[in-house]
Amino acid sequence: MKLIFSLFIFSNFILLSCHDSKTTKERVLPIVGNRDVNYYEVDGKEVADTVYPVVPDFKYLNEDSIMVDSKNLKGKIWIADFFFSNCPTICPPMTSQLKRLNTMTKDLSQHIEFMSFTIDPERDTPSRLREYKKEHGITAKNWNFFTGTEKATHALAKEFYNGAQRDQKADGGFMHTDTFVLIDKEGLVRGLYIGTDTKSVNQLEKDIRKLLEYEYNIK
Amino acid sequence: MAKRTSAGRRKVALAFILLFGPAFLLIFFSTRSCSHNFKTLEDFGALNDFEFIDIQGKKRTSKEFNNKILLITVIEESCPDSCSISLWHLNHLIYQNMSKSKVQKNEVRLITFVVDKEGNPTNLNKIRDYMMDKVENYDPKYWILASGESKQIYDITHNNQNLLKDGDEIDITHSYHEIMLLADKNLHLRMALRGNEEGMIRRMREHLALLQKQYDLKKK
Repeated sequence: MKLIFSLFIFSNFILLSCHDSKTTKERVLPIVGNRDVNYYEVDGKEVADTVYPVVPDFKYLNEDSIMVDSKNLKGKIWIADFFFSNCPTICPPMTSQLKRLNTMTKDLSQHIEFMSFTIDPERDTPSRLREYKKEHGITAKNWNFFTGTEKATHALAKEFYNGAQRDQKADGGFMHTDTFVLIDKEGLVRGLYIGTDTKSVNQLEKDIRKLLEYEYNIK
Repeated sequence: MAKRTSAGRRKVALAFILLFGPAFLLIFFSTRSCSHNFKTLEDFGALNDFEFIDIQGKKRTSKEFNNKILLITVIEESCPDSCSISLWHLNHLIYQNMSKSKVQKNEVRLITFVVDKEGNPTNLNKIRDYMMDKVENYDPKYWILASGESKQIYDITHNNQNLLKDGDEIDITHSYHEIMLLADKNLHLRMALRGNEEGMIRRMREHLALLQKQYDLKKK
């Protein structure tokens, strides 16, 4: 019995000593952004380490007039888009695609936060956003509609690899992109998708599942 | 006793047919009328001669790549979105396969031109360090980083369409940056696809395999 016990302890010791303590996460999706390379010395040798930009922190009012701090949304992956409620062209299909995605990922809703930023905060007050949500039959609890200041939101759109600006010639008075952004729990942008294209949104659903399963062990 | 023996024989024969029958059928059909019909890639003509400087600072010319299948791409050093996605998928879908395959290592070269926003050649140091850090088994012998005039290669016209032109306007800054070119061992262009999406890079991998198959069939 003693022999078996000591063999058990010994084999565990061997196994533990073989285990690589370096826990580098295996990435399954690209990291979007202008990477930078930092150099540092290890044992007299210069080593390069790639660093990526993370999306900035923000505070926005949601459709229920609650001030939401992005720090409180950490621990989830994010899906973001930029829109405005008076947009007659690409926003209605974008919202319906996002709603479809929200339904498709319902089983993972506690791990995903949807966020739609209005680029026209003057007209899109919290009550208008609440109305917009109703008009589109959106009842999901993991989806915030954010309103803030125009300048800051247009700048934030850039950080999320989107574009937004006033344009008198454009329908509704604003020009913007239709990109859906996938952001991981560390704030790294992991994918950009065409929000008006069903195929691309289907790919986003696949990528969400892949990211959660392989990088965060969530099925 | 005799009855038992004949029943046993029948069983053995049945087992034999079940076990080897499908294989015999396959052999029969494959040696008679079935033949593999692989798609042959179209030949879009010879690539322009090109030259570049590699990460060792060595001048390289297109002539030395005769007898190699080339996959040519362009990466803008400061392009945060599509280039990051493109590099990632090129690595995972094409280079990782290549680095594990002796045949591909022998026959295929991936050449990535690194350019600035205006499409001009740029310094390769940062991208080299990134590749060393992030690309598993990166070997500059097989995935060659190039500093040179990529426009010279992309100035191709086929069916009155030029890869450098975007409509009527000449757009040498961006229109071609996402395009991957596949060239055969005679440096003839066989495929051009946008490389900013996973699906397109997968398709390019399939075309690369088809081109290799063509050479395999010729060997036989």
